[in-house]
Amino acid sequence: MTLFNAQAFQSALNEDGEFKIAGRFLDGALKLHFADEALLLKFRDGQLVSMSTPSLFDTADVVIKGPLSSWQEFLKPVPRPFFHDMFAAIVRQQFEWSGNSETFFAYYGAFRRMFQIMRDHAIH
Amino acid sequence: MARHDETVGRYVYLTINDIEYRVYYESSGSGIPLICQHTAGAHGFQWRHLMEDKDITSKYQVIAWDLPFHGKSLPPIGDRHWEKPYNLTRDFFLKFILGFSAALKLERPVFIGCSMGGQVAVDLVAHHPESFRASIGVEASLNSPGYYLDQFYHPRISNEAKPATMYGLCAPSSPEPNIRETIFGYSQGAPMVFKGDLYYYSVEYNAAPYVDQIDTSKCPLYLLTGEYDFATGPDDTRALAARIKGAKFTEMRDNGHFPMSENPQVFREYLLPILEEIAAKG
Repeated sequence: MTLFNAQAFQSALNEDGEFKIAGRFLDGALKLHFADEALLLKFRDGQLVSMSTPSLFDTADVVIKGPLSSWQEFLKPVPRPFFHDMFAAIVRQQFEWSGNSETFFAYYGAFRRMFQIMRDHAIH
Repeated sequence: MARHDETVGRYVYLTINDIEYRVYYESSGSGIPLICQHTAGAHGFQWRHLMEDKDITSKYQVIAWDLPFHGKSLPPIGDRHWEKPYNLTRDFFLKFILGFSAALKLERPVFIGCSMGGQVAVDLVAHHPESFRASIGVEASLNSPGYYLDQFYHPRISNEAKPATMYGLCAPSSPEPNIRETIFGYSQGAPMVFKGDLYYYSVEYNAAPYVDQIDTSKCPLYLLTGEYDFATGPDDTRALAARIKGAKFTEMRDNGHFPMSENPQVFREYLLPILEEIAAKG
């Protein structure tokens, strides 16, 4: 399953002016579950340093899960209402989040920008 | 020659529950008073596009205030407000709006409010229909539980979190500069104010017990909601409208929770026919 161009996404994210500001000092890991598959994104000092399939024992500061069809809608250039933003999708659609509340809310602006860039590099 | 907006600002003193408040408001145009209530945690800047719209200001005097503790309306000098939590109550909210209208000697103004202002648009029609020519609730619902949240006022979460989450309440088709201006307003709020306002929006406000008794023949009620508003979605407003005989609801395409500031060009297309209908009734 390939939902977005990972290499282009990582490069664009680390060059993005808004992400650099919103994600300053970000150290930690974000795990995204796309149905049965998962992706672990590791950040160091505000940069995305790696993306990999997590092992059984990898933990993350924030975990976000959603059905595959929901991720596909979420990553469309102009998604349907309530798929347009992760907070909206958690409140109104079938996405779930868990983990460290402080990290999630402190860096929501960075994650929001990250998802927009992921959307920009989505494969439809 | 300097270029100015038509809008001018000044202060009025209001006494509510024995406390005097110095309230900032802006005004533009002349005609039927149209008084504007901003959303929770924001201030009157959200209405600035209406105030420069000559199709509106040629018939209406548009007035937008900053509630006490918001924008340029500083906390009252005569109250030890720092010793108690800030929570916006229905009692204060209704007294403020009625008191402001009386202080400026406004004759049956039209009220328009968004989000918590949309909820109070319903409360005004329910409890004070004689005082208003019409009421326009933007992003209103029967109730909106679950938003009085600690993350909106916590020492370990900065003021950056609020504007970041407000971004998602805007529609993806709204112009980026307008979205950025809208969420910038949230970063200007004092730390406790957004959550405190949500006390009215999410805890106190619940129109379900009395909404059936609203008489729109005394005060017409118009309801507008943006399709991308996930806090108060179109279905939530539709459910409210279904309980009020005579209420007129329209779902707004290409708009979210802050239509007057995030996409004013689209918003005016929905608002102008309502204002024309109200003006025609006299």
